Amino acid sequence: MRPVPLTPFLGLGLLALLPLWTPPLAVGVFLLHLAKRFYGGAFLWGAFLPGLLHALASPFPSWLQGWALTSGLLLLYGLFLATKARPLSSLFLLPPALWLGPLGLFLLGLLHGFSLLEEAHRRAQERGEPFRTSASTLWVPRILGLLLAGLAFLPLRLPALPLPTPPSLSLQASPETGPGPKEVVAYPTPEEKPPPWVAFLNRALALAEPLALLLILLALWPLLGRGERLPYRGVHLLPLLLALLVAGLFLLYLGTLGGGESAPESTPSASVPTPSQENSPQEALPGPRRLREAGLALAGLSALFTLGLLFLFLFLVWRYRERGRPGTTPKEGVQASQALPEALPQDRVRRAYFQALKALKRAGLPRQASEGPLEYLERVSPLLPGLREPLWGLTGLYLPVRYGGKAGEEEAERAEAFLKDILRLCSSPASTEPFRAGSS
Amino acid sequence: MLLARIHRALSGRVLLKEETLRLSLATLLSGGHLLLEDVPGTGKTTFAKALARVLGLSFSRIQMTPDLLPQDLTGVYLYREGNLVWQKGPIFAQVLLVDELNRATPRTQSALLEAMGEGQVTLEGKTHPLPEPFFVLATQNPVEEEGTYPLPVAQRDRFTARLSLGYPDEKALLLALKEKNPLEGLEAVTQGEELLALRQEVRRVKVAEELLDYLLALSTWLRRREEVRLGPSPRALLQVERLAQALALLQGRGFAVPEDIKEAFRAAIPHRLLLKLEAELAGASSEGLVVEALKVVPAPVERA
Repeated sequence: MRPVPLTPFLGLGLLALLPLWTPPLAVGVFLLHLAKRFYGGAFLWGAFLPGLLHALASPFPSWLQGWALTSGLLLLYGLFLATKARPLSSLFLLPPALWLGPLGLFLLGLLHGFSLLEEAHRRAQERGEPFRTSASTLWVPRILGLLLAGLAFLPLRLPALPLPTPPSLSLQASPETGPGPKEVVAYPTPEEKPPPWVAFLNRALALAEPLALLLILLALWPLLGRGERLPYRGVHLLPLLLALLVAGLFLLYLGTLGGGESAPESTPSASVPTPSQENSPQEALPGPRRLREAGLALAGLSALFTLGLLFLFLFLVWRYRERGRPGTTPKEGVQASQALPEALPQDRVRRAYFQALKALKRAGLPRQASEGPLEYLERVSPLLPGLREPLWGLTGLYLPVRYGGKAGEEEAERAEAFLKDILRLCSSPASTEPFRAGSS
Repeated sequence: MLLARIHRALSGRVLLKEETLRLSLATLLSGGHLLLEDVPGTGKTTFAKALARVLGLSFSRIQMTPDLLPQDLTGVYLYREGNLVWQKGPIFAQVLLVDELNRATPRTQSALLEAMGEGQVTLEGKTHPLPEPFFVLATQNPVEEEGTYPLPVAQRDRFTARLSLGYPDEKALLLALKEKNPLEGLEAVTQGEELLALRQEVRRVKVAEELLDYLLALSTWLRRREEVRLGPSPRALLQVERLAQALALLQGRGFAVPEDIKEAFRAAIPHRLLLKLEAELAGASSEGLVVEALKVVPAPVERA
């Protein structure tokens, strides 16, 4: 029995976001679905493009904020589309949701709520029971979304903390009468020394921004397509170029973030604080200053430098892939070879062997790190009926490729045929159940 | 295939494991020499004689004793009818069985080891090349140590591999008891020329760079162990590589695989390791360390 698709629920969920709809967001949702269908390997990169439409409506750099928000929402939506089948991998949704703040958390809660409904529907169908629900059930995801969004509004902000500024001299008229009635004497005003934890906390808060950037970069790490099970398979040129574009825009966006204390009209002479400034919690909060022209140029330079590093890194990853590292191949070796017709025959043979090892590992027969291919063959082939012939054949094709000469098209096709047999054997639950139990 | 032919010829006659035969042949093809360590009566002499016969090679045997002189091995000049005539020693054979090598004095031992290394002997200023292929099977009795001169590590390093025949199983023993003379009717299945050609072929067997890295990793792992006083020498690693090439060729492959490196490492390294005294007293053994290295160091295979 086929589970009901998520789309209707999701449609309802998106309706709940109607007030937020903007043309780029609508285009983005459409594009993501389209890209997922026709370019499933790296469709998530499409999330960063529709936000550029904001540039048509506002001048630089004000449209960057709109771009960041739209891209974040679309990324969250795309991630959800890609990972909804795997509960643990949905942890990847957290960084962009947190970054987006209440809106992101609301969307996350909403999407997960609908995911729960879909799961309940699927289980009911598996049991052969009808899935009865009332319209009020649809409030579950909305409430979940609101709850999560509410978390973002909790008063977690610390009370106003003084910035760690160096002690400054301030001028004050001496209370005593001196030799001349108009003479002014300068002396330091007695300052209350803040407790040591304040300085420590200030430093920690100042570190928060680069730390957040690091976390975001870490969250983007899977975009390189390292993990087979992850939704990203950035093995093509387009994702690499998009990564560069996104990184550049993102850094520019960070450079234009407001939140500091220095207003454009503030002058150095304003070091004597006014009572209103002293009491303003805005002034005391540490944060990036709004960049002016020089600052923007500096941000641009650092963005260029970072882009250079990123490009170098991506280039190295690209070269590494070109060497045919099978650990980064997509899920099915056979499909991969069809998807990448330019793959060399020897790469296809190695990939097939790798996929076979992976399938056997899932079946509870992992290869020990120190085991050679022949030792492994001798050990596992008696354990699984029918495994000896295909594994023997595949190993026989793999050994000359890995340690000796080269393979031709015929060998690659034979290796993939052997792989199919092994995958079929491993996917049979009855034959592999004892090993799974043993390995657990 | 040579290995299959020899195995067929020796099958049922000599108490031999397939692994021992393979490693012995591989040692011969790699241009090395073999050290057999075993208690008396396990068929070392019979094995050496049978091997020489099936390979179609000349054979001689020397029983080492403390009073044996180097000339007893290499030969002497005799005065006959007014002329000095050179009388060849037993070393001039293609397969030389040196029984109880550790009973000879270091002087005689070193004369033999020099011949093994150089492939020639020098007498009275004249150099005499040894026949090719020249293959030494030296035996040592690991039990009786009284009155022996144990080989120092530097000299053990000259032997490519060390093997132990071990006691045969009951079935093989029964077969041996029925067979009165195992060497009777044993025919040569190859000739020296073919073996020399195979030696050249061994050098062309490909050893992937990853396998060389693997070999180095194994060696480094051993050298870093605190029990080890002296780890594998560069010569040892070269011989492991050559032995792995020969093992691959005997299996009909033009390239070595991790299993070849492992088998060669297991045969070629333990007798070259020198352990610290306290480690030996604590029960550590070079064989045990090598086995551990092979279990710990990851082999260069796809990682799933």
